[in-house]
Order: sequence, then C-alpha cells, then structure tokens
Amino acid sequence: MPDYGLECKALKASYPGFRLNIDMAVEKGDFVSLIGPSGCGKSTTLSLISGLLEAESGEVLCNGKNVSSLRPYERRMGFVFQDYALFSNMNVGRNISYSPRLHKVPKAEIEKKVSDLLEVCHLSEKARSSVNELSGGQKQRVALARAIASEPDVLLLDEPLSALDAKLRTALRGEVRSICKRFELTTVYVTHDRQEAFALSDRIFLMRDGSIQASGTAEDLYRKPNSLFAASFTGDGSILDAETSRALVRKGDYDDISLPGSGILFFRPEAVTIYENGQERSSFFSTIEMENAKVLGFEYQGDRYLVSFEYNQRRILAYSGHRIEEGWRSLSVRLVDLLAYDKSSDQEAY
Amino acid sequence: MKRVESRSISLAFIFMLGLFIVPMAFTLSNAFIVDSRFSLSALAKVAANPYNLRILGFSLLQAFLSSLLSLSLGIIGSYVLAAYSFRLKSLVRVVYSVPFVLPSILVVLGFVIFWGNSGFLNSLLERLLGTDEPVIKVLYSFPAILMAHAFYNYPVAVNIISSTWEAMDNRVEMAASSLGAGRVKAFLTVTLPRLKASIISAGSLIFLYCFTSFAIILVLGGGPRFTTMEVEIYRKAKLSMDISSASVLCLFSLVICLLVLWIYNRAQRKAKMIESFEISSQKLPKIKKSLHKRGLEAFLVYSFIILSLIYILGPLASIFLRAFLSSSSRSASRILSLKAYEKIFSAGSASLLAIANSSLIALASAIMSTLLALELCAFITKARTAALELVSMLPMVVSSVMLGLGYWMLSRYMGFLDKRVLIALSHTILSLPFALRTLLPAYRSLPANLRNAALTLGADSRKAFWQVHFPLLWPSVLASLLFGFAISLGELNATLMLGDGRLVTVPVLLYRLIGSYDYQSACALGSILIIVSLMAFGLGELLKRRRHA
Amino acid sequence: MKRIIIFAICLLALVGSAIATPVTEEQASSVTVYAYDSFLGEWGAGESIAKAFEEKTGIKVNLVGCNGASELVQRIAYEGKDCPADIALGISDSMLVDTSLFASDLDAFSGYDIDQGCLIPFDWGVFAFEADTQKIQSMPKSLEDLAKPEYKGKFILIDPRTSSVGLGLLLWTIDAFGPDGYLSWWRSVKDNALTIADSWSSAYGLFTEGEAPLVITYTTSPVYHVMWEDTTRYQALEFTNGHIKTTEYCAILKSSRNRANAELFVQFLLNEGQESLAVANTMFPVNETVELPPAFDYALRPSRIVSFDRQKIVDNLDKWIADWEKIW
Repeated sequence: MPDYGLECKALKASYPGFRLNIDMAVEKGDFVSLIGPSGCGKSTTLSLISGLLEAESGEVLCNGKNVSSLRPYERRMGFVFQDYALFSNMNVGRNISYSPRLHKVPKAEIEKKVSDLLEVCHLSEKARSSVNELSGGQKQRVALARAIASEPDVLLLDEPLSALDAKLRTALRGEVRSICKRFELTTVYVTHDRQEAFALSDRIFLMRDGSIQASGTAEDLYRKPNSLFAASFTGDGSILDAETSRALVRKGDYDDISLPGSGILFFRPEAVTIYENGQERSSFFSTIEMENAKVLGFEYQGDRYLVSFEYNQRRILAYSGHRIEEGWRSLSVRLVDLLAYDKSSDQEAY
Repeated sequence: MKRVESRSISLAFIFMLGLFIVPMAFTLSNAFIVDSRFSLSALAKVAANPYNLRILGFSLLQAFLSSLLSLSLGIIGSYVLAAYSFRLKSLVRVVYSVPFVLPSILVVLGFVIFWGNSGFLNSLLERLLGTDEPVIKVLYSFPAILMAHAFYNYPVAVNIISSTWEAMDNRVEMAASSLGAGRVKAFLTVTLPRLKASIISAGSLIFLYCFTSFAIILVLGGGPRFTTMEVEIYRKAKLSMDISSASVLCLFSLVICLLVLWIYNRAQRKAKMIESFEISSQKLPKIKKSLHKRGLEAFLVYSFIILSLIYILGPLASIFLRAFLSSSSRSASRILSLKAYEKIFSAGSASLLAIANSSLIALASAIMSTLLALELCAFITKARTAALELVSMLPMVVSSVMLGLGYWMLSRYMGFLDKRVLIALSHTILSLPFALRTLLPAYRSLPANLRNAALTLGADSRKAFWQVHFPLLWPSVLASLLFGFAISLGELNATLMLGDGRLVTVPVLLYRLIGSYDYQSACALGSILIIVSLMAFGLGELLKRRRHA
Repeated sequence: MKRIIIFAICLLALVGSAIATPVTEEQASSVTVYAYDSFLGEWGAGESIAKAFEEKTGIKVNLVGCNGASELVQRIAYEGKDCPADIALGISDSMLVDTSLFASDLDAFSGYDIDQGCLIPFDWGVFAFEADTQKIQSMPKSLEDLAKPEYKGKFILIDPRTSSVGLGLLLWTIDAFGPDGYLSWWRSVKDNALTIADSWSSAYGLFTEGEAPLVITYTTSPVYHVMWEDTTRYQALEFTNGHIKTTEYCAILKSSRNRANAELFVQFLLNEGQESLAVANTMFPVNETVELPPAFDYALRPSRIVSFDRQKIVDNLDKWIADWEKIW
C-alpha cells in the first residue's frame, strides 16, 4: 500500500460555470503536475486543497491525516502563488522567516534556516534587500523559500513560473524540482505548459471541466493516453476517421493488425513518414497511405520542421528534416502507431 | 498641445489664487499690523500668553484622540464593507456617508436631541428602567466632543480606507494564511501595513477637521475648559474685535495645519512606494464572504453594523422625530403632527427662498469646483512636487471663520458682485479639495495608452479628452458634483459672513431657527437637508454600481 | 475650450441673475440700519418695524444683519467713512465702543437717557434665572444656592466672553460678591453647572429642550412662552442678591448721509415701534407710556435692580475676564 502524502477524496465545489469533483492521490515525496486547458479548475483545485477556498464536501488527507476541517493556517501546506504575493513591507529575510517567527521558533534556528534556504536558492547576498528590488526569477525563489521555511507537509505551486520569460522558465524549473526533492516535499505543481510538466513530474494529472481525466507518468500520458482529449492535450497529433480510412490501408508483410470498424484514429507527427509522390517504400508494416497530400505550411523548430498537410479535408502533421514549403507529398502511418478511440468519447480535438 | 494645457493651468491657478490665497493673505496680514503699522508685537503678545499655549495643547490633544477614535471605528467599518457581502450593503454605505456633509449645527442639534439628558435615548431608558434621572449623562464633556467628532468623521475614514481595501486583492493575506498566520495575525502583519497609506491619508484629514472644529466644541464640550484655537479665533475676531490677535492665532493654526499636511504627504509617498509594487496585471476578483453560515463571525459583524447604524441614524432620526412632535401647548405632552412642515413651507415663508438660494448656489459651486478640479488633475498628475496638491487641500482645513473674514474684507473691493456669486465662489473653493480627492485617483488610473491610441487614430488633444478620457471619468465627475452640491448645501460660516443677513440659505435659516429657540422648525428644515444628502449619496452609490457592472 | 465656456456661462448666469434682482442700497429716500442678526428674519422685530415705518413715512429701510453686536461695531469701524449705514442698532451697555463713530448732537432725543453722549436706549431687560416648574420644584433663592449639591447638573450658565447675557451674569456675580469674591462663586459652581454655553440661544435652546431646568436669561423670557405657547410653566426667579439691568442702544453714525431719515427712524423706534420691539425682543420698552400685552404680567420686575457702572466695566473688564479664564 503506497504511502500517500496527499489525497483528495471526492472533493467537490461548485462555481458559476463549472463544478469541481477531485479525486487524486499523490505518493509521499513525489513531484506531480496538474495540467489542463485554461478554465478547467486547476488553480481552484489548489486553493481547495490548501483550504483557501472552502469545499462543499469531500476530504483532503495530508500524510494520512484528515485535514478537511482545518483552516488554511492550520494545515501544513505551503503555497507559492503565480504573482509570488511577497510581503512588500518586509525584506527578503523577513519574508522567508515569516512562518518560523509566527511559530516562535528560536531565533538562532531561524537564522540558520533562512541562510540555508537563501544559499540553496542562490540568494545569499540578498537577505536584507527589499523585495521590490528583485527580478522576477529572484522573487520566485524567495516565494519558494518562504513556503519551504514553513516546513510544510505538502507544497502547492500555482503556475509559479508563468510570469517569467521562456529562457528563465527552462532554467529555473529544474531548480524548483531539485529544491523540492532535496527537502523531500510532496509537491503539486500547476502549469499550463505541458512541456514543463513533462520535464519535471514524477506523475501528471490531467484535468478537464473540473475533474481529473487521466493520470500517469509523462510517458504513459504521451504514448498511451486514455482519451482523445488526453491525446490531443499531451502533444501534437492528427486525426482520421476509422471507417473512411479502411480504404487507405496497405497490408504489410510482417504484422497482422487491422483497423477497428469505427471510431477515431489518432497519431503523432513522429509516426508519419513523408515520401515524394511515387517514391518507393518498404512494405514491412501495415500502413495507412495518404497520396497527394497538399503542403499547407511549416513551423521551424530548430532541429526539425513540423509540416502540416491537407488530406481529404483533414489536417495532418508530420516532421521533416528539411524544409518543405509547398507541393504535394505522400504520407504514411504505421498501423501500430495508431491510437484508436470510440466515437462516443468526446469528439473535441484539442 | 503644450500651449493649450498651460493656458488651462494658469486659469485654475489664478482661480485658486484669487479665491483662497488672496483672502487669506488679507486676513493674515492683520497679524502683523498693530495700530496701522507693521509690527511683530501682536505675535509676541499671543505667543507669550500661557492661556494660548494651553489652548493649542488642548486643540492638538482633542484632535489627536478624536482622529484615533474615528480611525479605529473607520477601520472596523471598512473591514466589514470590504470583506463581507450582505444584503443592503449599499444602503449601509450611503448611511455611513451622510454625517459628513451635515452642517455642524445640525450635528449638535441631533446629538442634543438624541443623547441629551432629556433626549430620546434617555427618555427611552428612563421608561424602561423606571427612573426619573437621566441614565446616560454623556454630553457637555470631553467624551461628548470625541463622540461627536467620531460621528462626523467616521464617513471620511470609511470612505477612504474601504475604497483602498476593496481594491486590494487578498493574495498576500492568503499567502500569510498558508504560512500559518491566523486571521488576526495576518491582519496585523500583512494587511495593516498595506493600508498604511490610506489610513494616514484619512487620519490627517480627520485630524485637521477636528483641529478646526467649532460648533461641536462650543456646545457639546460644556464650557471654557475645552476651548480650541478655532473657538478662540472666533471669539477674538467677532466678539473682542481683536482682529490682530485672531490673525495671529490663525497664522499659528495654519502653520500647524501645514505641518500636519506635510507629514501626511511624506508618509503617504513612502507608503505609496510599497503599494505600487503590488499592482499585478492579473487581478483576481475578490471573493467576499457571505455571512450565511458563519455563526459567531456573523453575529459580530451584524452587531457592529447595527450599532454603527444606531450611532449614526440615532441623531439623524431624532431630528426627524422632533420635527413631527409638536406640542399644542407646552404643558401637554407632545403629539405627532406636520405642523412644523406646514409652518416652514407656508406661502411666502423664508424656507422656499432659502431652498431656492441654496440650490442655485450649490449647483453653481458644484459645477465650478468640478471643472476646476479637472483642470488641476491634469497638472497635478504631471507635477513632480506635491506642492500644488497640498495647497489645494488647504481650504478644507483652514478656519472657516477666518476664511469668511477674508472674503468679507475682499468683498469691500468686489462690491459689484452679487452676494450669491461671492458665496458660490467661496463654496467652490471649499469643495475643491473634495472634488480633487474624488477625481485624482480616477484620473491617475486612466490607462496612459488610451489617449495615445485616440491620438494615433486622428483625434486631436481636446477630442481625445472628451471622447476618451471623459467617459471613463464620468462616474467620478458625477460623484464630485454630488459631493460639491452636498457640501455647499450644508455650509454655514462663510455664508453668514458674506450674506449680510439678507441672503438666506438653508443653513442660515436653520441657524436663525435655532437662535429663536424654534427647535422644532429647525428640525423640520434639518430633516429636509438630511433627505437631500441621503439622496445625493444614494445617487452616487447607484452610479458607482453601474460603473462596475 | 469647452470647459472654459461652461465655466464662463455659469459665472455669467449667476452674475446675470444678480443683476436681474437689484440689490441697490442707495435709493431716493432710504435709511440703512446695521443690526444684529436676530433683529432681521422672520422672528425678529426688524421686519415688522421696517414695514410699519415705510408705510408711515415712505422711507425705505435697508436692514443689514451682522453676526452679533460686537461684529456690528467692528464692521462699522472697519468700513470707516464708506460705511453705508446710518444707524447702528443693538449696542449693549457692556460693550466698549468708539464713540467718535457716532453722532453726539442728539437734541431731538433729549428726553431719553443718552449714554456716552451718543447711545440712545431702545429697550432694556433684567437678568435672572428662569425655572421650568414642571421639572423642578425646589427653587434656588440666591446665586449661592446654585453651588448646592441638589442643583448639580440642573442649571445652564453662559460664557461671558461670547455672549452679552453671559457677560451680564459675570457682572452680576461681581456686583453680588465683589471683585474679590466673584471668582470663588464661579469656582464653586463650575462643576455643578450642566454646561457653560457659548451663547444665549444655545443655552436657552438646551433649556427648552429639557436638558436642565434652570437657565440664566432675562426676566422677560417667560413672556414669550405665555404669548406664543400658551403656557406659564416657565418662571423667572427672584434672587436675594438683587438683579442686574441691561440696556440696548442704537446710535446714529456721524458719517450718515441720511441724517434726517435716521432721526425719523429712531423716533419711530422709540414710539410706535416700542410695542412690537418689546414683544419681538421680549424686553421692556424704554418708553413707559407704551401699553404692553397682558402676557408681560408674567415678567419679573425684581424689587432690587442694579445698574453697573460703565466706567468700571471699561477699566476692569479685561482683568476680570483674564482672571475668570484662569479658573478653568
């Protein structure tokens, strides 16, 4: 029986527009991400977990203990806000030491804790600085240090890096994770950036319309998403209708896969091979062949090009090592790389 | 573009100069004139008198304690307004705003009728407890002064502090909460520092008001024990005919007021620096707690609201009630009747004329002060120093007796102007600080790019103002107009000084009625004044709500 | 610029309306009277007397209100020879006036007790404490009685610095206890009084509202209540210390340009106007031949009435007040 640092059982709340119903369990010491489309309730979920918003029903357990009836200042949960919410009337050191001071920790201990944290966050020389003078990245680190200083059982971060520029984000996110791991904190990290989530998390929870739709490791979610929504949210992809694609199947020599009778087919760009029209290709695997797909445009990604094609009024994405600006090509997808879903499950391609 | 603006600046400035600085200079010059010669002896005489020093000390003490009381109550009231949502909240807000614009004689009247030894409260308590002696003997004492000042200034505190509080988003409080701070601790360590600027702002305004308070001290204080500078100035100027001493005292008063204003300004700037850091582009809408299921909390909040409403409405309601209670003969007990209203509205009575005069003057001064304030806004927001802002606040705090005296002296040279014009002008200056206070924040929050956008789209500077800025400013403009109207409606001292006794406005009539011990008619007239103020502020609230919607 | 235009319009509108209702002061035949504010207005004596005078003589009366008797004189002094007033009305006997402002060739009024050569009396009163018999049964009989514990919080006094009635009270105590003893009386009552009001109207208003059953006022005050409120519950009390008399004066300005009209007005005031004056001011008329309404029977005419020597007041008032201030 795994040891859960944080559990939410049927945590419910209603707001104008949507209802929240959260069931999730995070193992102790894990760094997990909560992702989903905007407006699905990620930040609200964090607020509910921390007690800053009141839930209508359900339970929150922290290290096995039911904290649902406790006020936010009684739960031992740190919170890092999107805009840091630093106390502008205190300097960096006093911000970080706020919680220990409240709990009457002896002064010497506080000083040591603060200087340790400052060092870990590479902010040692800023101890006495006013928070107004800091840069975005520095503020974020102070907010993190402040939350950690309160020795929480669980740490909640609400899109902490979204206010920073891309380079800083990439640079800092690793630091955030390593700091949390160092202090062995059970961490829930909300972000709208799936790449960030993929990079950092032990586990990812995917939310939609107020409830958790899928959870698993990054690989699980990327390679074997449990729904079309999960598939589209976790990465680029293209969609084909199963019925109409039957005609496009070319049987391969070595496998014995067949398409489902109906449903939706989903595949990633990396599963598509681009051929010149009429080019020879191998017949090892069963594939779907799309002849004469028209080039719509491309996106340069530095190491490769993401090219979009039009085939039968569908948009197909594929990777190419070189630039393809216009023309027609043939596309081929292995059946083994296809993900199939029921038509009944949500049709909305994200 | 620049030339046009500098033209409007000079107009506003000239106005300020003419309407305020010149009269004050006139009056204050008397401080240096003894026997028609320049001399510092008047200054020396006043400064040397220990009695004057005592008065100064008392003035400062009562102003300080009064503002402390007003602020404390104001903070609680602001908290209730900012943190909770409950039914009839707008009504509560409107009621909270009323006391401030009432002429102080009406406040005194209300207090006597409500809290007095034979007041409604005591009558009620005597009947309940079955005694003959008054139960609450609070008037004619130092506490009475503090109470009346708190009554009068509570609206200032609540208005200024709650508008800041409501605009603050409470993430920081949430952060403190997540770090283990209970509600009280979070308030003390995190919220209060953020409110510092507005508390100081409200505090200094209130201090200055209490410092120059007059009627309340005179009547409710209980005697010569509690004399303030303002009272002494009044005595010297009007009764002892010692203008030079009065001017000296006024000068001292002015210096102190300037000092307080300066301290306030510095503190505000410091506090503002802290605030500006916090303006994030993404503001979460503040979720106000409903009092639905909150037990003890709801009880405390509702208790406060009810008590504060009683405190404010008590004297006001007493005035209404008294207007209806007339006695057919003094020996009989009082009966309800509309006699008083009939009396003051009877054909040919002075009331209708008074109301007409008051309305005309109020309208004119409201419009003029708003226009002036608009002009000054543009200039002040660009200015580096706070000097102009400070100076434009002065009329609010300078002794109205001396201001009136200055105008009166000035009027000898401006005799060609109708009295009403003169009074309207003086009211304009008195309302100007309020107009500014209302318009400046709105003006400052105008997005800078909006104007530029309009300009790039082809609108010239003037058009840009009227088509782009003005619609956004409109709610504040309206609020400023209403404020100016209400203030002018309730102004007494300057009107008395300049009116020559022949120009009757509502406050003057009120004053006369009280003077001829016709308290009942005074109350009838006073009740009308209260209704008009309530309507004006109610309108303001309505407009504010529509803006947010 | 739209703003300036609106601005100018407002100003013009006001000025325009002002011009439409002319407030001219100089007319063919008129007289201008500076009086204290309560003389004017609906309840003052001024309106009715002015009307009656105009009807009789055709001379227009311009009444100008000043905020109290001393402001009256101060204003006249300030305006100097440009002062449009012909008559100053409402000077009391405790006030110091610059007699050079007023005309002293008053042969027309030789029958009257002219003070300082220029002040013409037009009504007089006597100070006394008044009681609300419905609220108090055991009456004080002297000034000393007021210091007794049974009267704690039951009487209202008035500040001598801001009110002529208050000053009258102060002088009364000086007369009763002497310049060396009056302070001890004040010390003995200062905590016993409900309040020291700033003006007579404040004090009397509090009294009629029931805040306290005793107040310092004129012996003629009960008359008002008998006449207008049909009640005799208010009574003036006679004290063993005797009572102080106070007289109100008017004067003709030396700089007056309507001397003849002014004299006519004063004559009117002292004859036909006496009754309405007495009734409106609730004071005794100087003209003994005037017949007063029966309500005046309720005015107390004390057995011992004292007049204070004006010269003594002039010489010592500053000191007396300064000493008085110190006891607080």
